[in-house]
Amino acid sequence: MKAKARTAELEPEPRRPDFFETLFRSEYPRVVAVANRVLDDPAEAEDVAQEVFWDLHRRHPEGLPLAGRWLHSAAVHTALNRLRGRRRRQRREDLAERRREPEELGDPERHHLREDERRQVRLALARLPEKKAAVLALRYSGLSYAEVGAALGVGAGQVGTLLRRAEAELAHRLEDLKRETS
Amino acid sequence: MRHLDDGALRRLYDDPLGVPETDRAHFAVCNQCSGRFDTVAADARRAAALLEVTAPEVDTAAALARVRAGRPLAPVVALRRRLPWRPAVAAGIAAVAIVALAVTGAAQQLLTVMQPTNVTVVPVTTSELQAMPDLAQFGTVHWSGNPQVTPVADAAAAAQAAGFSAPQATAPTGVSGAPQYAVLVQSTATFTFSAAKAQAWAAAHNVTLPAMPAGLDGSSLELTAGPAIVELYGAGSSGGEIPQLAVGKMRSPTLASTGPSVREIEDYLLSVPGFPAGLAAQLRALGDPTTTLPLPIPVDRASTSQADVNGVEAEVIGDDTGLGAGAIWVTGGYVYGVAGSQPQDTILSVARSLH
Repeated sequence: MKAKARTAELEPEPRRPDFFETLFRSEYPRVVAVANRVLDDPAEAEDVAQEVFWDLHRRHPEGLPLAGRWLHSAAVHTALNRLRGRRRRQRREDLAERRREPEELGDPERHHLREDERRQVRLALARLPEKKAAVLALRYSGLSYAEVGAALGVGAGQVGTLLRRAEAELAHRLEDLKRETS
Repeated sequence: MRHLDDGALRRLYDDPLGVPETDRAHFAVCNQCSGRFDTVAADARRAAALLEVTAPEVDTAAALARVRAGRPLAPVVALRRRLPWRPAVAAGIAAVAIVALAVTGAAQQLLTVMQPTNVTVVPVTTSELQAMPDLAQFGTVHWSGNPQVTPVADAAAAAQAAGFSAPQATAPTGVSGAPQYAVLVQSTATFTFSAAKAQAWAAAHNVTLPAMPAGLDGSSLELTAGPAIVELYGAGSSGGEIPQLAVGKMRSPTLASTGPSVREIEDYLLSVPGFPAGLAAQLRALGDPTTTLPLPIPVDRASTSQADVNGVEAEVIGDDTGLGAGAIWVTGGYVYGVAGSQPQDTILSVARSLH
């Protein structure tokens, strides 16, 4: 109620929330969550979410049936694109970090290990085939099997199979990465 | 009765009610399914732990206001939209690369003389580009020579004007007619650092600048670009139609400094308040600064990859909007670029056909 009163104060002609606003309010947190599950970076995830909503608004100003499905799909693919772009910059930052490493031994080691693991998970995710990476991000962000299936254009019945394969492959990719770095 | 497949077992793990009743009844009495389920569940638990992230705290109302206000376009996209024809993407990218050389300080390049022999994509985000301090606040830019594209009659005229041979490309199927040639004359941008200007900017923005390296105040950076030959394919015999493909060859740009060492200028510019930390780290970590041309690409607008062009690694830029693709590489003292409305593979075939 409070929010409503504030809106009325700011806007001389109170209007009913339009399609976009209703959708934004209901879906924005989930879209951020999906992007964040991929990127593990809340600020960048918000950036992705806003870009996706802005894109939806630009392409479909009059609204879109099943817009939620469109948003989830766009969010996960945009975030994965960014993640892959980040991989390359990460390689360069790693190089830069390695040059500075001697000053940073000791206490922060534990933190480094954790950071390393997080980074490797993102790297493994970036190496997964698109659909497998997407199913993981969507399901682990709390979307239902039906919603995940809709966003990926597959039947809900196939989501379990896809998820199972993606989880197994994620584990394998991480093993590969560990071998590469050891 | 048939055993449950892996998909059903996986769903049983976190959405049991989504699994048909008959399957659940079978599972309850089947040792084999139960054994397989343990593996599936262990993998799922492991994945859940691995994919754990810090939950974002979102301010939906503020975000809605931002989106309603309209998102500013990334500079590359804005540039592309202003250009009259689509294959200008290559020109746009090259222009951005040159501007970025000067603006991002391309800190790496601020050496006595730089002449790139290879090109590397530096992924940037829209917000990083926006956060970048404006180099114009640190001095003044002066252009000598008019960086203007002049149409010429043919390859021979282009070669004569540029001082090097025009590249010959095999145009892809569907792109017909002789190419239109144009030449960009050599031009030089001189940037003169001004301590007073930098201080005024810092005072106005309430930030503290790092100490300017000795000798930087009043010293100049000189960026020389061109000459370049641009060939437009599929533009019609009069050149009046929208070209489908552009090929460019430019002498590698050079950058000369009359002031302090590379390291000093780099450290200074990258430590200016507001310079995006991730980008600074990338620029610091680029390969040999005298030989690498950084090419900033907004990661949220285009995808990039590498491909071999006759033994040289080229950066390939695929426009996510499906407008086209481009490739850029450096060899023999020249920067080459091919861009057009064709798919990436076609662009690469054209790149490889250049001689």
